[in-house]
Amino acid sequence: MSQAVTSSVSSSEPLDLIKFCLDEQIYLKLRGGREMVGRLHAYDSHCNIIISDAIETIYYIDKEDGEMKNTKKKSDMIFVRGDSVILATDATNVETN
Amino acid sequence: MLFFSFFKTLVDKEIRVEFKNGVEITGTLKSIDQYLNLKLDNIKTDVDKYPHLIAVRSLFIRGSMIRYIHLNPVDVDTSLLQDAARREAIATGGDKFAGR
Amino acid sequence: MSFFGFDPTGPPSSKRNDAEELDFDDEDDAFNEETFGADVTDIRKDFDFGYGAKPQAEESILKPATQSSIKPGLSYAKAAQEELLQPMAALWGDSTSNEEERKEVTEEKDDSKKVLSLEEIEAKLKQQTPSSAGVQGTANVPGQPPVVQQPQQQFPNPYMLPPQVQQQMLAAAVASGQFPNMESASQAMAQSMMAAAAFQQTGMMPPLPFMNVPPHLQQQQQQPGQPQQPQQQPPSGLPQGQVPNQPQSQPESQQGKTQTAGRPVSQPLSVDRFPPIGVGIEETAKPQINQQQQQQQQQQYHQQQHQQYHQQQHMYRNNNRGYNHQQQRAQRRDYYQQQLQQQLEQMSPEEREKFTIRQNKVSKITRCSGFMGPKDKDFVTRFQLSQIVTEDPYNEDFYYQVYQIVKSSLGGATNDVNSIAQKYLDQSGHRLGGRSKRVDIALQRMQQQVSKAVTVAKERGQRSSGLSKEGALGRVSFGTGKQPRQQIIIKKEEASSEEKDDALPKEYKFPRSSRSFQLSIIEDIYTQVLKLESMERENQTYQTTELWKSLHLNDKIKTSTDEINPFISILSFDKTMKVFQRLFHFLSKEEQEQIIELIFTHLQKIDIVLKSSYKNYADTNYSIPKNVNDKIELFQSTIMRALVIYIGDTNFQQILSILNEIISNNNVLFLCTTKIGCSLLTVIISRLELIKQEYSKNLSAQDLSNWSLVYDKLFQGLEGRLASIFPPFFSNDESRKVVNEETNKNDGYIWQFLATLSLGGLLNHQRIIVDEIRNEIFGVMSLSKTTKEEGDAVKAAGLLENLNLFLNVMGLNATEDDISELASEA
Repeated sequence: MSQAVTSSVSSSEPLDLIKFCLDEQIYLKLRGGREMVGRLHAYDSHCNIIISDAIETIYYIDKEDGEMKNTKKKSDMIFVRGDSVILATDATNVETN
Repeated sequence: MLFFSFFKTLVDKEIRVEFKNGVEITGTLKSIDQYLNLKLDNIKTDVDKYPHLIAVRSLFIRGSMIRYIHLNPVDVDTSLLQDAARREAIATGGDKFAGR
Repeated sequence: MSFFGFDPTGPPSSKRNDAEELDFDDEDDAFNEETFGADVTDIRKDFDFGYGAKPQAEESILKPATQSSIKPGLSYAKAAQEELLQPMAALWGDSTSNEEERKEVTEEKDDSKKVLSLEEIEAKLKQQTPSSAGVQGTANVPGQPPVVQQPQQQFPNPYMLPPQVQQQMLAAAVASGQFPNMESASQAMAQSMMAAAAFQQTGMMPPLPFMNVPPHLQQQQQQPGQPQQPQQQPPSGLPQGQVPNQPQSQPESQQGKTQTAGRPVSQPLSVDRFPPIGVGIEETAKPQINQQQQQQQQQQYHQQQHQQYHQQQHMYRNNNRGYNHQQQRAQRRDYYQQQLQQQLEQMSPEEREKFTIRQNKVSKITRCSGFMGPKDKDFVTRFQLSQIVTEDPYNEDFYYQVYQIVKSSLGGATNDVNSIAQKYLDQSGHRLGGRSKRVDIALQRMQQQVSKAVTVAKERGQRSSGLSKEGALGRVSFGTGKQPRQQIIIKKEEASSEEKDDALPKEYKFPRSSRSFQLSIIEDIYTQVLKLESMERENQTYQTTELWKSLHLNDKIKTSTDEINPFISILSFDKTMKVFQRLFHFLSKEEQEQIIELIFTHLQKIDIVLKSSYKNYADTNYSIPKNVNDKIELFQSTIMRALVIYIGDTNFQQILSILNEIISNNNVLFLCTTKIGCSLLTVIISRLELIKQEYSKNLSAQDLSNWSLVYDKLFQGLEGRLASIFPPFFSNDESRKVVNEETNKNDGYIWQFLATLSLGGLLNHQRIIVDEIRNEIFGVMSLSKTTKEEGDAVKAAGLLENLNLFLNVMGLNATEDDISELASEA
């Protein structure tokens, strides 16, 4: 009743998009061909991030057959330093393979 | 200051630091500063991989060298941490808390 | 205080003789290269305590200095000690700290050797123009560290003085008759000029204090007779604190003779040139005062004296700039080696061997110890503290503060200054050799420093907000202690009001049905709750209108099939559940009612209730995914708990209307296939029954008939399908039974529900219930029997116990074999 049904809500700054993921699954693209998915617990303006139950995927080109492969690593609780972060988004936005 | 504040609570706890060059070092966090430089004691590393670190007991790590820090979940109060992150976001977003 | 727990003020016992070499290449430190880059020798250049010019200046002197001739056998231990103390004053640079340092020095200093009282000097310093504060800062009377009691030599080295000052000095020197003629004086002067030139080659401005000197001297010359520093004038004929030019001028002239142009700066050392080692410059100069000063005219005396004073200050600075540092260390080393030799000669061979081994160990560890003096450490400490402490620990150090309170039962007292000091001492491994007295002193001093740092932080106030500046060459960003420089600075939009929405770029808007919209609502709520909590903590009055607005209770989201309330749509997020009780706490009674009503009305639309029904998982053998189970548990411990508490102190009529809402707006049968729905209905019915039985006299006949009407409505919804309440994994009806990982969990909530349902019903209701779930009842009994036969008596008893929850209501009791009337004692 208070707002028109068609109106939308705005976020005033980009970091809000990370804030929305607090306590939700977040997807990070990191330097060095790495990705990380897990539950976001903290972030700051440097994009330093703390994630729990994280699964890190490291992509690499296999030297023998030249194909792209990946390895996965798990971590219960991990701090990611902001300068490795390329991209951060809600994990539901990312197709998992 | 959020992460500085956070890591202060991990002093004397064991953490595993992964450097940007791939080196991993486990040790007891002794000190932390606002740049997230660390001081570690009781260093443990994979001696086969990093024989040059075999004699190192304690070291200082420049914060910018760090890629990850693996933590023990029992040392982390996640709901408090989330609140702290929100407070930080509010504080840096210009809104002030009462009494500031 | 040492990093290694050694007393750094003790003598370093390294046996290295090459005094020219600096100790920087510590091959044990494998990380040096990685941390600071390969060019380790350049490290000193990088040290910048915020006074950019000075380290550079230091650099320029350092190299020539290392080449200078050093006469062995001289002890510079004391000089080094003092010299170590000094740089901090210059670096710290503010008069308060100097004052404090001076006081500290007073305490430490051996009073018998003191020549000019510190108060006198201080008073004198205060008389000078404020602009020369930096100079004053360096003019401390040197303290005497407790450990080293060796005599020392002070090196005056005026080579750093800028030309103007040199000129003044020259004039004064000639006038004083120290130089036989103008030539020798100008030789010294030329030397000084070269030094100044070398200084400027570094491209740095000379340190500020130098600039302050000439006006002074000018003033002095204009008013030669006027005593400017009355305090310094001693009552007796021999001014104790006065320093003649001699110590400065002589080396100056000597420098001129011995040095080449390529080496503008060098250190003349000669024992006999200098008076026996004193405590400070003033004392060093004392003998010469006797010889010369008395002959001088009063005017001249004043002028010189003032000049000298400044010169000394510069000399101190120069000494401090690290020039003497390694040299004096080397000298010290030599001295102790001599001592060591003597000691060794007096020892037996075994002793000697032990001693040598120990000595080697110690020297390895302490190779770099003593590099920083107590004052250096104090400075670093204070610098660090000033970065750490905050006037507002609760906000700026929230996590740490609250975490400590939560972790320690002591609570509360963590933010006071003393505990910061104590903690800092603990954490920094800050020890003073274990002597308890000294630890106390260290703690006291740390407390002082903390409180001072807090004051400074308060005064600094909001100034630290401007972290970036945009200029013609782009943006420049700064780092502060509170906020290290960011790699990327994301420009913040001005706080956007509702009207400004249209001006926002498209990508900042979320469609209302999107997940981002839901998440933004939740974070909005959090923001409001956090603000309210903050206000509550400070006992401020607060208004909850913003919070209420952020809940979007009266809002609607249109989806393709349905309309849904945003608040209901966000209820299934973990973080909403977690914040629910916190926000509930701030709401008024009416607002709480409104929320509760909304939840009960839309119970079946709540995502997690929907998902908790076993019917969703028919395809996967009815196993409920772990994340759903986790959410169910979270819902029960948060929102449901709040609901139960609310129902617990609500009156009969209201609960009845809630139940009516549930039945009218939801599919009761579906709700009963969920654990959450089942449990909620159980709570509501049992509460109604309880009130009815305990306080029936407060209820009108109307109430009771309403209750039976609602009950009938409820029962109608379930009648005929009661067996479907049992999820297949809990069912013991052979036709429905499914075994999965849920089977072993407690099915008590179903029997509780049936028990309360029977409790509220009449005999015919009870008959229907028993009839419909007959298979389940007998299934449990036979399962219990087989379980008991298999040896698990505890589990068997548990199964029967749950069944009897229900049967006892009807006065029945079940065993493994049959059902009987409840024993008479019940």
